[in-house]
Amino acid sequence: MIFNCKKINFTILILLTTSLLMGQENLNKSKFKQLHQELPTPNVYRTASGAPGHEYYQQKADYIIDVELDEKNNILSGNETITYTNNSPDILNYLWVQLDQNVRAKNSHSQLTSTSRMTKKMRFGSIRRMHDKMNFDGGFKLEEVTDMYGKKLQYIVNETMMRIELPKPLIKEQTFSFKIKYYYNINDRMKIGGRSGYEYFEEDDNSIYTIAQFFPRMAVYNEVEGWQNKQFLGRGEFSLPFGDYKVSITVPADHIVAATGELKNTSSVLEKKQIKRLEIAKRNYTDPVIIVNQNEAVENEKTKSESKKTWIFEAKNVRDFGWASSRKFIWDAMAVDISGKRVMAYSYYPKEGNPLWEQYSTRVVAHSLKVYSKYTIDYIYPQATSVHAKWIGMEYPMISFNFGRPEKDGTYSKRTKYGMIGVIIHEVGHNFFPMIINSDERQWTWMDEGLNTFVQYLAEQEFERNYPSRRGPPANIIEYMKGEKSGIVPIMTNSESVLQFGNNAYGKPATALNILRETIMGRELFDYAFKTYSQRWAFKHPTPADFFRTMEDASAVDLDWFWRGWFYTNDHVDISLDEVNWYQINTGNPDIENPIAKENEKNQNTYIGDTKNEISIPKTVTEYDEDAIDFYTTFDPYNISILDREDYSDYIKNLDDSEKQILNSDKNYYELQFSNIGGLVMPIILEFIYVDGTRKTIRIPAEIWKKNSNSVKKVFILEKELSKVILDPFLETADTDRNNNYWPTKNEPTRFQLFKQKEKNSENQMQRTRKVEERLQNDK
Amino acid sequence: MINNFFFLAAFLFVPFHDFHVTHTTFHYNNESKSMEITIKVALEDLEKSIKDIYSEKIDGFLDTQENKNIEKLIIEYFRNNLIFSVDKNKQEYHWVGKESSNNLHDIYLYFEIPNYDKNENIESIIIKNTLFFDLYNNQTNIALIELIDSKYNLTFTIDNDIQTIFMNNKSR
Repeated sequence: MIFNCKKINFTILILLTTSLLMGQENLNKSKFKQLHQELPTPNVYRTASGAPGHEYYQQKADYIIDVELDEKNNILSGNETITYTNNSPDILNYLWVQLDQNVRAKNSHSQLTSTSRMTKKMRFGSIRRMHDKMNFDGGFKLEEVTDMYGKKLQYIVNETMMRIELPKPLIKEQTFSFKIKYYYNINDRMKIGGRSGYEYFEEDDNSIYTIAQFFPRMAVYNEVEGWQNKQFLGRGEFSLPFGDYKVSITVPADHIVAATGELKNTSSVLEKKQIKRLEIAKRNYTDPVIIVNQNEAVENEKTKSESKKTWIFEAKNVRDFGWASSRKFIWDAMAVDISGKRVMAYSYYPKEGNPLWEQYSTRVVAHSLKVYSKYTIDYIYPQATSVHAKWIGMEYPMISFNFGRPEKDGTYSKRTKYGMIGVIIHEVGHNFFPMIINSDERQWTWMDEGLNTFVQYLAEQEFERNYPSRRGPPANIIEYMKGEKSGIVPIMTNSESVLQFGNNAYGKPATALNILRETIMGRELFDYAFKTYSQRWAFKHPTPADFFRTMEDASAVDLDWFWRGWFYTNDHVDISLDEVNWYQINTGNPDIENPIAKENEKNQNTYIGDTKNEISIPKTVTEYDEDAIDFYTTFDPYNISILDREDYSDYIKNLDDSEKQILNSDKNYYELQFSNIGGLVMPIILEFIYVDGTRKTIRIPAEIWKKNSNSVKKVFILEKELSKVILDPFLETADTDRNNNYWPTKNEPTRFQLFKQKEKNSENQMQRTRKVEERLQNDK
Repeated sequence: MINNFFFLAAFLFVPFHDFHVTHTTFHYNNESKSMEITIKVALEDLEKSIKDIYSEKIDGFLDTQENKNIEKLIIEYFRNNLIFSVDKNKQEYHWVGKESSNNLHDIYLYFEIPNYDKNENIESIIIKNTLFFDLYNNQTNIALIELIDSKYNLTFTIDNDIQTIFMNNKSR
């Protein structure tokens, strides 16, 4: 009995599973299915249009920070007061504070979870780096966490997050202030890396400090994630609320300090001549004015002051704060006109950055602000700064650290130059994404890196015609997208789990936006929608859904299929032009059609036996015996009789004028068949080349795939006969295999083959030149 | 078990916004009966690797005239770190040339296996790809193998540096 029972259960189970599976197979799998299941339900905080809702709120965190740099020991010590305002309708019992420096603490999760391995041949550098990382005593050393009256607050540190217990629950519109006293050891960027730290210059025994994540920072609390207290592992960057900052930075008296915000005590930290030059710079909109020149900087780095100076900066409505300090700094500045408002562009660099930095840095800052302001919103902060920092590109509000160092002899390669211009545009661009349009970097890297890389591409192309941009054009993403699928994850993947970070979070989204702009929406609709998104979410916290929805809402272009394909899958584009069939109308007129039909029959291939019989059988019976002939022996079906002509005129009589017109139009009907091999549905862009050499471009929206996303046919009625058809003639869809894009079939040469051809050609060119020279000599 | 390992004198630096991927295509050319190899790598990584191993300065070597010595180092580096074997027989490949990508960031290197033996009875192709694994832990190398009627797409990481294609299993 028991046995039987089990058996029955088993059968039922199988039945259930099969019906479940069958159920899944019958779901709507259309590539044009709307994203209702993927996107969160709209609510009072975030609307279905993609705009902030009427109950939208965000928290506020204001900071007063005093820090001091101990140059001898590379220690930064600080004292901060955080004032946190709860604008949410929720009651908060505790606060989460981010301790990003702890990523460098001994045995941090970041170090434990990064995989490593030994190989038979290890480089000295790799081993030294492992040692340096292991031995570095990083992380915040918390000395005191108190309320405003000095009373200790209860807290617990969980890796890079600290939970502070509130003495009493914080309700809507209430504010809570508290103080943290701390210090940390500053990392040597050259040894153990990092977004911030110092670079030591042995020649003159000085360092450049580029300092960030240098104070415990409030985490974001909102209706999307609750507290965004996902640990900082190193890749998923930051998620920070807006607030006002007052930061006092105490450094050796001969240092120059660059920072987020505006300098408030100019007269007590700058020399008179520097203040004078700065005033001149404020009126100079055409080229940078040097505030501290190279000779002064070189002189300055020769000695070390024992006294200190405190630089006071203030910044309103920023989500973070960064600064840089060194006695090596050269400093230049110029004014930038953003819609009639003056913004200052600053650059700070050591002599090692010249001649590149003096010529380009500030100019590129100014250019970036103008282009980004055009495509997003006017830059409203008072300044934007670019600081020279070897090897890295890293962004903070109003200040960024950028690479680009010439050789010691003052020369530099083309790559160094364009790399530096590119990184400055990119990092200054981050002022817009995510510093102002403040997305959650911890969750979605693409929302700032992808959008920023897209505008970076626009800015690069406006800097120099055919600027060698790395990311943006569809052709540049093909190699990545046709790769093995296990090595590729969709864009909509959390920052820490992204594979091929650069391609996934920077390249692909930037390319996708470029394709929307050039191919799917067109520049006018795209630019308006993209600007709308920027305006709606400036100084707020957008999510992916807010972006997806706004782009549709402001353009009336259904983009769900595009987001679904490009952002939620790792499919690629490979559309194939499978067949081209040519038809002409049968007029029905026997005087026209019969000779054609006869000709066609004559042109058909003949069976070999028939051909041989023509010779081997001199005469058949019907050929030598006339009596064997009857009606059917001589009947020619293509002969035209009076009755045939009458039938035709009767047929014509029954047609109306428009039908007659079609019948006599003498058009060519081409039926083209396409199949979708890659998976991503995309517009079909065709170039028709006619036998007379003229060309025509046809653009069909992606919705041609709406009922069958695997294969479609389309008929084109053309005046002229076609000689060639090219699919995606302007390289705009990132089609990964172009060998199936031509009719008649044509294989595009591979890069390898092109290179080999070029090599041959260049040899010929040389031979040719030599021949020319010989000829000239002979002529003499 | 204790493994011995060697130190190689080297500098090591990891720029922040750099992500390490190489692309290699093995394309069988049915007309010339040769295997055409195209490798795309970040110029910066190649420079670092050569500089570290051979203490050679090759910065900007694309801008200068041909430098046979550096070419030799590059060829040696690739022969050591990209091994293509047919039924366990290592295939020798020849240097064809190099060129910079349009965006100046990458360099394309071209090699060729002339008279590639496309025997019907070949059982397996084994590829070992350790390009820049000595430089970066997070290095990813992608290889696309295009034979006449089949394509194979492989990903190599530091934990997975040898891959085998069995020819009787012609899946894409």
